[in-house]
Amino acid sequence: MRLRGSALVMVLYILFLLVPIYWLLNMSLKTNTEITSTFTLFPANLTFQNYVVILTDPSWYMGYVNSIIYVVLNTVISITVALPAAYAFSRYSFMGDKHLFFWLLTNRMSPPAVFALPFFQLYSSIGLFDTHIAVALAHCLFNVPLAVWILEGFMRGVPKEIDETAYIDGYSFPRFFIRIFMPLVASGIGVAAFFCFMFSWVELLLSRTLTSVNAKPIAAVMTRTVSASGMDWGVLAAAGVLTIIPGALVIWFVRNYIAKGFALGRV
Amino acid sequence: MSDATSPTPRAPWTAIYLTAVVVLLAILAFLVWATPVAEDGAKDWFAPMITGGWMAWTFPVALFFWVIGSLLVTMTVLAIRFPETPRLGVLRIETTRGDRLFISLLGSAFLCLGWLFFFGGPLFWALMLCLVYAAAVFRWV
Amino acid sequence: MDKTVNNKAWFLVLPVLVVVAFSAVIPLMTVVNYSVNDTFGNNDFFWAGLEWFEEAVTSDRIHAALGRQILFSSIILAIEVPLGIYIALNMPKQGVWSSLCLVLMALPLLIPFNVVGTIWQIFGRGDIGLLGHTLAAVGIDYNYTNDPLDAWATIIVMDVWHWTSLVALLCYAGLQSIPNAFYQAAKIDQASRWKVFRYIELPKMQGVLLIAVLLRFMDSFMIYTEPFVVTGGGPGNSTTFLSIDLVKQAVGQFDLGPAAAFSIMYFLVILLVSWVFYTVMTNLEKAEGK
Repeated sequence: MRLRGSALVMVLYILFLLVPIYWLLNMSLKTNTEITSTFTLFPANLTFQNYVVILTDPSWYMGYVNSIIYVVLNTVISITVALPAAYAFSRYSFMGDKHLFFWLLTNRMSPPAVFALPFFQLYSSIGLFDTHIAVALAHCLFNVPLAVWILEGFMRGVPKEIDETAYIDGYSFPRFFIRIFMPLVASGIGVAAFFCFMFSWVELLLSRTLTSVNAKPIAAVMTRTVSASGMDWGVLAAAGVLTIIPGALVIWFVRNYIAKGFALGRV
Repeated sequence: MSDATSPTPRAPWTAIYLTAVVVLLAILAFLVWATPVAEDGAKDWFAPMITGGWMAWTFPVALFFWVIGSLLVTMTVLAIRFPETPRLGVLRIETTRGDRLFISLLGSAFLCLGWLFFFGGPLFWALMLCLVYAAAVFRWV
Repeated sequence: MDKTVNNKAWFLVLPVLVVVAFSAVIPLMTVVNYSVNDTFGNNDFFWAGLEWFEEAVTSDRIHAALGRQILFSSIILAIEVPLGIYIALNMPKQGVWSSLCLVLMALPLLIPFNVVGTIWQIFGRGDIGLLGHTLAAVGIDYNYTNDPLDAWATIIVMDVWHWTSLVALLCYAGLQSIPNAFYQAAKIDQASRWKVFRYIELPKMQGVLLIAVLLRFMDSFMIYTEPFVVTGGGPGNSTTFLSIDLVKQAVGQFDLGPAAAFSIMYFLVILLVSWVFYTVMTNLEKAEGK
């Protein structure tokens, strides 16, 4: 009896989660006339025209290209600098380590709105405004602390004896780190990279403030369409569906690690 | 300088203190030097230090960060000399000297904002209050 | 794990320090500078003293935004935390269903914030959205662009939709760590369902629950994108939260001074809350370690 009760709760909850997503998908497969004139639960005339518009119009698909460029840049930078730091936090205690860790965490917690204006001034003054690297560096603000936090949790699980044995065997630190240690925490690196990718991908405020034309991200392209008059709902929905896809793909690849990432409580 | 009980070799503490003080004073002197001079020859303490600079540095703000920086340096030197031991204070949480400094600074910021809200105007007395508060934090928390 | 004391570890932390200093310290210093200056553009600054701070601490607009923000964050926590625990308790413990549930539940977490906004913007519209249409069909007058109450309801339901899974997944991870023997012992003692929850499950979830509350509080406290896309802060100012208000002032009107003073106060509040949570968390870990 109890089992059936919980199954019912879960089904209801998951329905609640999926129906809005279904609605978006549904809209993206309808023509605009169908969206505005009639109300249907399924697309009457299935059309892929909305997707064709996005994939052929440079002002749309360049948004995706720009987003992907800065997201990848950001993920690479974040993981590269976070790896040694996470190792230090997980293996050694040093002066001020707790304060440093807390300071990193506050950066994860601080509102991007506070940083939008000084970032704009900073990057304008050094001539990086409207470039991909500017957005990638700006997103390091919250992604680097996040990566350190996640990686530290995974590295703590690797027994210290491994380090010591490697040093006795005559490995130098860089060689030990790359050849032995990194493969051991590969799943951790995967999870950290995944979350860096995600948070950089979903962020709107900083990426919109720091770009105008050349590096305009897809999120900003979408909000522009929203504010324009005569909304093209079908195309907007299709763009939304396409923005969900990278996340859905990545979640599929790391599905076995996600539970572990959550278990560490570090998202 | 009683290093008799300490097993580590005698460190040149006088030299370290002196170097820290000299470096900090040099930075302060640089800040004063960088403050622009008004037309009548007197220092204009509130003018931008770099004309047209986007960060808009002025002497009071620079001094503010200099004070915080000096506190950090002092705390670091002290932490090397006399390693920090956490203790339980009135808040029932373990704090080290660094934690107490943080609590003092954060609390002072809120005290100043509160002062502005209730009384407005110059913060001189608010700063005095902050000093008392900081002393209390270091003594009891 | 015992950690070796080694101050050379600072060299390993150095890269992080440089990157974060560049993207956090320089902007914060800039904000402090701007907060005491006035400008007419072109990097031409004039000393303004504490004027902007006085203006900000007494501004009715900011007080109202802060009030809305606290109300919003409290409602979010009050709904999402119990609901998340409830869902976690009902999740299948193992097998295919459990991993299916995990993947499906993680889905909303990974949708870009602005798309979450877009989804609910469409979903709630009376003419083309399923929710708006259904509500209109049963005779409920619902319009989130005109009625402040409806706008609030939409944003809250949206946030519950978006983030409850996070709380649920964290609690689920906490529940997984309870050995089966505990439940068997409870069964032998004929403990009620409530007692099992109160004395076995809740204490085990304490740690993750704290993290869940911290993350949900912080993220709802700086929420920007979703309400911005759905309501744009309206109708009127009824859903203008702190971040939306700040961005309007900083990037919209380019009022450097007042926006900077506002930013500093906002940041101080965040710093205080982070510190309280961090202290509670480390003390809890220590208590568990004993």
